[in-house]
Amino acid sequence: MHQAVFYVAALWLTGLVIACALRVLSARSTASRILALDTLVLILIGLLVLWSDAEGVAYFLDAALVLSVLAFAATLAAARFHGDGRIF
Amino acid sequence: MNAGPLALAADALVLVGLVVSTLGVVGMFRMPDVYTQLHAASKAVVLGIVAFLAASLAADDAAVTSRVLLIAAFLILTTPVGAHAIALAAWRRREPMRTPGAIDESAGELSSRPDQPSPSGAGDP
Repeated sequence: MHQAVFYVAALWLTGLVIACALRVLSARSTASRILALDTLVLILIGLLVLWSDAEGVAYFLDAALVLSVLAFAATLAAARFHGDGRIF
Repeated sequence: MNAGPLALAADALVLVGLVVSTLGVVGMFRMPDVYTQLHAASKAVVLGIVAFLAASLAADDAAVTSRVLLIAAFLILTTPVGAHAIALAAWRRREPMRTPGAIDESAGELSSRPDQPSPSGAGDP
């Protein structure tokens, strides 16, 4: 991957992260807020993948994998708590 | 850094992923209720991230490839589950559907509270 593409993509994804954070703050309902948080973490995973590709090292991908597992568990727990009043 | 066709394909995949992720985030802002926001956020953004993952396959490194395949499989498997949980939570909290012409076809089918398990805690017979 070329450096210019990486810089453009990293800047753009940072903008998307900021947009998602604004969405978390301005969401109209709790479910919408949970969705915005989930999307924010997904874009962070994309940023980590991009970073690992640009640096040519694999260990950012470990962090991305752990982050995806954490995002899944957190989204499921928050959504179930919001809808059912209990997690399990 | 070589500029072979593989590197160009990786650049193109990164740009495609950027466009698709951006469309997903824009959809999250533009859609009127959470049920339609889920379409944009859970499908488009994940497909954009998968495009990034596919772009880093061009590095042709076994350590990268194994992790990339693992992350892509995990994301594709778990994002629909999370989106379904969010939609079910919104529906159970009676969140209004603001999309024009929206019909709640399962209005009387599911209980608003989750079904309680049987008192003995036994599973299916």
